[in-house]
Amino acid sequence: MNSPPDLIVDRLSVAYRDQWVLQEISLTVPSGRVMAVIGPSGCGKSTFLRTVNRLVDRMPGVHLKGQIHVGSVEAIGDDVDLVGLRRMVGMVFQQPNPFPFSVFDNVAYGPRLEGVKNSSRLRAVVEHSLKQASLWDEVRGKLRRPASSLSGGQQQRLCIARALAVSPQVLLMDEPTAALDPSSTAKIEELILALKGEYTIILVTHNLQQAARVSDLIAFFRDGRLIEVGSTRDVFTAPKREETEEFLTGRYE
Amino acid sequence: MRNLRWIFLGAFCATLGASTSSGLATTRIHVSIMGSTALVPLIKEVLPEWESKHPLVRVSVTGGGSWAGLAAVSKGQADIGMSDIAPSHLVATRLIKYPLGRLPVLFIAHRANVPRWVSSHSLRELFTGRYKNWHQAGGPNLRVVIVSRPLSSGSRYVVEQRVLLGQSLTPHAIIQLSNGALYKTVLSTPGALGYLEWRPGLKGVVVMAVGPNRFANNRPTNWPYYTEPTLYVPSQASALVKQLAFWLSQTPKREEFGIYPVDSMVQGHQ
Amino acid sequence: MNVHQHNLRMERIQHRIFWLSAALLIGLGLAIWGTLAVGAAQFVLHHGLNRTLLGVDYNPTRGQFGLLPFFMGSVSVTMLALALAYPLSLSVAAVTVLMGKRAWLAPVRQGMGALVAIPSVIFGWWGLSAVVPLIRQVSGSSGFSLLAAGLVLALMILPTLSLLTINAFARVPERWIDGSLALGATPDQTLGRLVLRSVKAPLIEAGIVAVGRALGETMAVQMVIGGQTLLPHGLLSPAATLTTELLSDISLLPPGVEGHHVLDFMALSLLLIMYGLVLLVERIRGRAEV
Repeated sequence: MNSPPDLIVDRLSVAYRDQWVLQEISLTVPSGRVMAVIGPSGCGKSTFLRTVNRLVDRMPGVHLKGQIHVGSVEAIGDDVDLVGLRRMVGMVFQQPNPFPFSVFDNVAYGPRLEGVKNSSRLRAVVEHSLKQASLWDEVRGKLRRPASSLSGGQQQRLCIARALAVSPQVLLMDEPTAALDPSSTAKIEELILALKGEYTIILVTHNLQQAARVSDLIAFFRDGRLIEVGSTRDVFTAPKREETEEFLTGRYE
Repeated sequence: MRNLRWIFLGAFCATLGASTSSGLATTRIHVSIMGSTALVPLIKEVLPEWESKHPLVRVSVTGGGSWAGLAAVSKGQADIGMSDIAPSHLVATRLIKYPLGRLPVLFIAHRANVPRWVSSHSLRELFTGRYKNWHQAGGPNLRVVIVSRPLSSGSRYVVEQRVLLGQSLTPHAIIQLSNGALYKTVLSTPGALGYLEWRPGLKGVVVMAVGPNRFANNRPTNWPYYTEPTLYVPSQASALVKQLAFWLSQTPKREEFGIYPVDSMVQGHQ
Repeated sequence: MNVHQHNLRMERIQHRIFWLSAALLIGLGLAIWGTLAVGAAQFVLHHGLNRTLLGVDYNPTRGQFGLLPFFMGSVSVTMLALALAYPLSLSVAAVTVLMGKRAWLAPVRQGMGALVAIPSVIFGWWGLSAVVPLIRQVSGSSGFSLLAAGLVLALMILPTLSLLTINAFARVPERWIDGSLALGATPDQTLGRLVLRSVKAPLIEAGIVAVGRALGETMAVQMVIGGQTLLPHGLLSPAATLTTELLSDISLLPPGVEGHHVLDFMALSLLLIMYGLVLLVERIRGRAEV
C-alpha cells in the first residue's frame, strides 16, 4: 500500500467577511501521523479542519489566504477540484451524522457517488469499510436496518466506515467522541490508533488525555493563531510557550 | 390557562348574542330580494333612500341569477324575485309583476372584425356556430370566437329566443360568468363576438348593427333586442312588500343602468 | 356556596357550551354530506352511471348529464398545474435552503405569503389579460384553454407548494448536508440522493395538499378555461372543470328545479375526492412518524 501524503499548511489565514478567524497558520503533519489540535473554545480549531476539505466554503462571505498541500494537491484556490479533494480528505463530525437510510446505504453512499453500481463490488466495499471501522461484527446480518437504530457509538463508527469507503488518504476528525459515553470513546480511540499509519489524521479534541493517548503531534491554537506545535511528549512535558502551559494546567479556562 | 378559557367563553357568547339581540332591538320587519345579478347594483343604489323612509324595515339583496330568483320567490324563500326571464305560466299565475322597463341586449365584437353590420340571418349562423369564419358574414378571413354568458343568464335566454329562434348557442362558445369578464374577453380577443346588456358608456368594442336596426345611445327604444327586468311578488304578499316592489320598479335611476321605461305606455293602456 | 363549588359549576357550564359547539359543527358537516348524498343518490338512480360518469353530452335543460368532460377537465388542469409548479417550488426550496442562500429565506417566505393572500378573482383577471392573450399569440387558438387554466392555477398553488417544500427541506439537518459534501458529493448529488430521498414523505404530502387546492379552485379557472362542456381534445382546447361547471349552473338549477341533483352529484364527487386526499395525507404522515 502507498504511504499517505504529508499535509503541509503554509501561512493559512481565514476570514468571515472582515473578521479574521485564523491567521498565518503554518504546520506540517507527516505521512501517517496523528496530529491533535487543542485549544480553548472558539480558537478556530473547527474552522481549520473545515478549511482542509474546503467545507468552510459553505459559510457566506468566507475568504482564504495561504496554501494547504495535501501531498501534491493544493487545497486552496479558485480552480481546486473540490470533489477530488474531498474524496482524498475524509471527515468525521462531532455529532454522529448517519443519513436516514440503512446501514448498508450509508456506507455505500460514497462509492455510489463515484458510479459504482455493481452490487457484489458494493457489498465488498461496505464489508471492508465496516471491518476497518470495527463495526462489522456488530452489524453483520443487520445491514438493511436503519442506521438510526444503532447506538451513538456505533453510529459514529458507521460514519467513520462511510468516510473510509471512498478510500481517502487523510482523515479529519472534529471532536469525534464529544457526544459519546466512555466505553464508546475508548473504542473510537482504539480505532484511531489502528488507522494510524494508513491515514494521515488530524484530530480536533477537547479531551487532553485523549490527545495524549492517540496523537503523535500536538498543535495548540488560541484566538485564531497557532501558539505551539511539536511532538506530543514535548508539548505535554515541556511546553515552550507560557500560554500552552497555562492551558494544559487548566489555568487558562 | 383559566383566563384564556374565559376569553373564549366570552367571545362565544358575544357572537351568539350579537346575531340575535341587535336584530331584535332595531328592526321588526325583514324583506329579502333575490335574483338577476344584472339588477343587483341598481337595487342596492336606490334602496338606502327607501330604507331611510322606513326605519323599521331591513332589506337584503342577493344575486344568484334570474332562475334562482324566480324559484326562491315562488317557494316563499324570498319576498321579491328579480328576473330578466318571464316565468312559466304555472308559476306566473301566483305572482304579481312589476316591470322596470326594457334593457337592450347589444351584440359586441372585437374592433378588428371589419363588418359593423350583419344580417339577422348571419347573426343566427354566427351564434349557432355554423359560420366559423368572419368571411362567411362578409368580413375578413378571421376565425369567429363566440363569447357567451352561461345558460342561467337572462340575456342568453333572449338571444336564444329572439335571434336563434329557439335554437341553442354553439357549444364551442367561451363562457364567462359576469358581464365584466365577457366584455374584457371580447375587447381583447380578435374575432370575438358576444352579447351584453347595455350600459351607457360602453367603449372599446364594435356594437354591431343587425339587419335594418342600428343601436343609438339616444334612441334605445328602436332596438328590438332587449330583456325585460321585472320584480315578482307573490299575490298574497304584504302591502309593504308590494309597495317596495312598485317603488323600486319606478325609480328614475333606471336609465343610468341602461333600462328605459315603457311604463308610460303600459299605464296608459290600463 | 364556596368558591370551589362555584368553580366546578362554571366548569360544567363551559363544558356544555363547548360540547354543544362541537356537536353543532359535526351536525352541520353531516347535514351537508347527507343532503348531497341524498341528491346524488336520486340522480344516480334516475340516470344511472353509464350516461353520466362516462357520458360526454351535457345539456342539463334537455336532460343530458354527461359528466366525463368535467372530470377530465378537473384532472388535466390539476395535473398540469402540479407539473408546472412542483419543479419550480422544488428549485425555490433548493436554492433558499440548500445552496447557502438562507438569507433569501425570509423574503421568499414573505413574498409567497403575500401571494397566498391575493383573492382568486385577481388571478383570474391576470390570466384573462396576460395568459390568455399570450397563448393566443403563440398558438393561434382563442387562448381560452386547459393550458391557460393550468398556468393560472400553477401560479396560485406555487406559494403554498413552495412554503411546504421549503419547510420540508428545512427539516434536513445541516450536518447531513455537511456529511454528504464531505464525501465528495456535488450539491446536485446531495439534493438528489440525500435531501429529496430523506424528505420524500413531506414532499408527497405537499403535492397532495396542492392537488386539493387546485381541484377546489373555481373563479380564476372559470375566467380563463372557456367553460365549454365538450370533451377537451388537447391542452389548447377550451374545457370546464367540476367546480367551474358547478358555479356556472348553480343559478340555472337552484334547489327544487328539475336537474338540480346533477349538482349534488358533482359536489359529492368533489367532496369524496378531497376526503380521499385527506386520508392519503394522514396515512403518509402516520407512516413517516413510525
